[in-house]
Amino acid sequence: MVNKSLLLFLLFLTLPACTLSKRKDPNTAREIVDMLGNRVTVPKPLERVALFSGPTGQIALILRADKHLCAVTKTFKLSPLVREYFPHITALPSPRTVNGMINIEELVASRAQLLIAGKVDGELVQRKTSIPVAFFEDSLDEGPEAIIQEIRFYARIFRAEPRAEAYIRCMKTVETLISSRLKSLEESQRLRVYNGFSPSHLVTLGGDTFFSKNIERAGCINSASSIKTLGKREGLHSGLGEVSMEQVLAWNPDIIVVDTGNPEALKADPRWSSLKAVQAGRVYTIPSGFFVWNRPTAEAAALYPLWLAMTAYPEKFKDLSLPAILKEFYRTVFSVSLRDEQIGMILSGAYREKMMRNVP
Amino acid sequence: MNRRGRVQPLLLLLTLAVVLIALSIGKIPVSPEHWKEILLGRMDTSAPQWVALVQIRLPRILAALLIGAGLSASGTVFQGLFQNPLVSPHILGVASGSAFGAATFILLGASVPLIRIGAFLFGLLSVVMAYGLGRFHRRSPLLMLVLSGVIIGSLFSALTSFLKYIADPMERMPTIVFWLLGSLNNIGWQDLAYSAPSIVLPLFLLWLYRWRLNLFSLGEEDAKSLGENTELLKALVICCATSITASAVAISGVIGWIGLVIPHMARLLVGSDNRYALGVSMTLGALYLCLVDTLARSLSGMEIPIGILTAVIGAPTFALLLRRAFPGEGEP
Amino acid sequence: MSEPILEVGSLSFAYPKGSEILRDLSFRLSRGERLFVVGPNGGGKSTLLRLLAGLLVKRSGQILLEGREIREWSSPALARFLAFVPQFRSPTFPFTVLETVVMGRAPYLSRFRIPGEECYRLAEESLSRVGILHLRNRLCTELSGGEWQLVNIARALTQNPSVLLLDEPTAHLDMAYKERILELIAGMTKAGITLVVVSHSPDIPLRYRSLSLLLNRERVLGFGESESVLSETNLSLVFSTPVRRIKTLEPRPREFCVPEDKPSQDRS
Repeated sequence: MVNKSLLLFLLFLTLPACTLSKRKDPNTAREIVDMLGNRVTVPKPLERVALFSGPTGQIALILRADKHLCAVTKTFKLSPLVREYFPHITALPSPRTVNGMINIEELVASRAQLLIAGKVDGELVQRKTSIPVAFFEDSLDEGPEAIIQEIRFYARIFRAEPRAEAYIRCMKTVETLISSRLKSLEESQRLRVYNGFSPSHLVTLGGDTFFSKNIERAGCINSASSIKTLGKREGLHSGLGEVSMEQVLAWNPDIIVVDTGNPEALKADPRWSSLKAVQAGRVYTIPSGFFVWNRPTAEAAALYPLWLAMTAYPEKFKDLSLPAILKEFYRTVFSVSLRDEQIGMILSGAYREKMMRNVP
Repeated sequence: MNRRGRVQPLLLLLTLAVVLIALSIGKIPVSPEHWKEILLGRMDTSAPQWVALVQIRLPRILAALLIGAGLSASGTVFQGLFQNPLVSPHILGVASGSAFGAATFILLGASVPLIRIGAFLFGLLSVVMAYGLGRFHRRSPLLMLVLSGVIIGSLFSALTSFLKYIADPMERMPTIVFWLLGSLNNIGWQDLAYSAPSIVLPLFLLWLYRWRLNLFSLGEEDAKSLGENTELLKALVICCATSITASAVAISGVIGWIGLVIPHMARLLVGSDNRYALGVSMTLGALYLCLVDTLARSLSGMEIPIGILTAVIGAPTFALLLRRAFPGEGEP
Repeated sequence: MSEPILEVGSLSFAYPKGSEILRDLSFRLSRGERLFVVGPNGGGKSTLLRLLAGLLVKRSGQILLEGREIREWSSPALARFLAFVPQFRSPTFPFTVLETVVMGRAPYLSRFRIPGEECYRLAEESLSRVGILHLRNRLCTELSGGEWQLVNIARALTQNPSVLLLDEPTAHLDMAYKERILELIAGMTKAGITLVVVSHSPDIPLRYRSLSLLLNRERVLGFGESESVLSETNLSLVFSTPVRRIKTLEPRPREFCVPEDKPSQDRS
């Protein structure tokens, strides 16, 4: 009798040891460091990853890790190009709508082995489930270095370092192209760009945001650079702020970029018609690829400066064809072959409009 | 009587002063030479000073005057009609209905004029619904009307929240939220042209009836016994106030606290008789909103949503007013 | 006999969801008379007054004012003919006394007219008649119950009515104000105003030469000279309790109606 209970007791003692050794087994798990510096244990093989990001999550598509996704954010599924080229994503559950609004049960039901998320969502999931969380950094004030860090972080998770480096090379190529062409540009010759979003065209991204840096990388100046728009506001995507009509008048930008409405319509509005950008016809709609290019995404980090530079200083890029460059970019980075009319739609901002209409 | 009679002219002068100050404040500096050129009609209409003054500041200031006067007047007449000093023009659900209308059209990606029309129509609709719902109980019609307004208002508020929830968080939702916070930022002459008639005409009508509105303070029955057609007057007052409020919300979003606080301040100055109180209310409201809007567009680089400013100023002011009106409550 | 100023014929009324309150009620009133409507609570007295004032719509029967059906009177014309002082209710809005009383001129003013000097003069006249001219700039909300009631009566007088309807004008008031109002009422008849006064206390009609209508819902227990209608028998019937009329002779002859002590009640 005593022997049996002793045996049981010893068995009991060894159980934790068994599970411990299971964790340390390099065949079933590995450790990575996330963007906040936490050490995260990532299971092997990694087949079911939940991704709670906005458009920045397109990095997963770049890395061809889309096959390993098991749950995404609601708006991620609404992009027309995502639906066309990564159709299986549309079939995935989408437990997250916005920051902090997560259907935990749906997430757990997706049997995610790992969650990639920002601070708010990640902490929520950590409190309520046992799913390991790898945090990315939600920074809206950093430039392309942040994107590089982010893509390397994703690459660590999905073991897709080569594709990440391919993107980084692409982005650096674009940067080099721009800076070489604009080398001779004097400070006084730099054009001022005003981005006016929303139907009133009065919502913009200020000088302390990533967007300002994107504008500067295109050899331009952000008209709103004196305005600081970072900071959380209730219900708003941080980084946006509204300016007065008169402020735009005072800035009198050389170029205006809008996201909604017809650029021609500004000519008929007496408040806008006297602006030199409107009179010169230099009002453009912001392009939208997989996602609109005014978010801190990988495609925007590379393509927005290029588009803006070629739009602002066409004489310096006369020999280049933007559509051709775009085609090449999407083929190399996303491994998708876009048709000519699709490139046209990207440049006209049509995909943004289409996405807005896809209310689930 | 004499003292009361002097308040309105003084306020009008003050308003004129505020308008002139507001005209000279803005991001585009306008020098005295510019002023001279403009007044002599010699300035080029595409010059930034002209555009700033005539196309941007002037319509915005006029809108502030109209909306301020309109909301204050609506608040005054509603407080008299419902015999309740805690009532605001939004009591019948106009603001909630308008918000829902605007949110719906924003979600559909409509242009600004369409959003305004949607806001106006849904504002009217919500009052019609409240009126219809309130007619069921004959015994205390005014109370039922208020309760119906609260119900319909809550319904539309809930629906608006739902729309915010399903809206795209990067674009549509911020647009809806900005709209709800209220702003006179995007107002031009065209907006004024469309909304001025539906504010000015009802205002004028209410002003004509200013003395008769006093009768409601005696209670509906007593007003009837004085020969007044209370049903007609009630409907008229509600229609006028609703048209004013719906038009105001359509072009400026939801601006609260004006319709609630300004009538009290007017009554503090000239007493409860609407002969004086209504006019003073309108002037005070116009003056106030013009002042606050000037702050909203010049305090910082960004536009401060005006609804926030009126709340920040209005709420503590109202608390002070309540203390003055009901001093030492609870003492035997 | 001259044409009655007020004639009620076979009047019946019931509230929308209730049983009949008045049935087949008929009486006439000549110009300058005083009618007191006496009866228990819920007996239909206020309802009758409201019907006469045009605030309620009768179910059947006639109400003739100066020979014309009440329905044919326009609201303003009716308000120039008769004035109604309802039961005591506290004021809600801080209007001044003068502003309140001048509202009595509303039936004489066209839709958009503002009362002018003449109207305010008439209002002040009413205030003097009632004896509260000194209160004209006070806020209603700061008045005592008695003062407010006088304001309401002044407002009614400003309507320059031929008929004055008063619903329990002395309720909630102390003895001094009670007497003041009763004196006023007496004076109005002298001025030629026809009065219809609801009173739950039968003492009051007994003070004057007056007519009384003893009313308990659809039962009319008497209409005629107060002295005879308000007999001990009738009063006991209508109030469902034995009532005695007690005379006092000092300092002036007065009569009081007093519910009789029941023999079983212990008063020790």
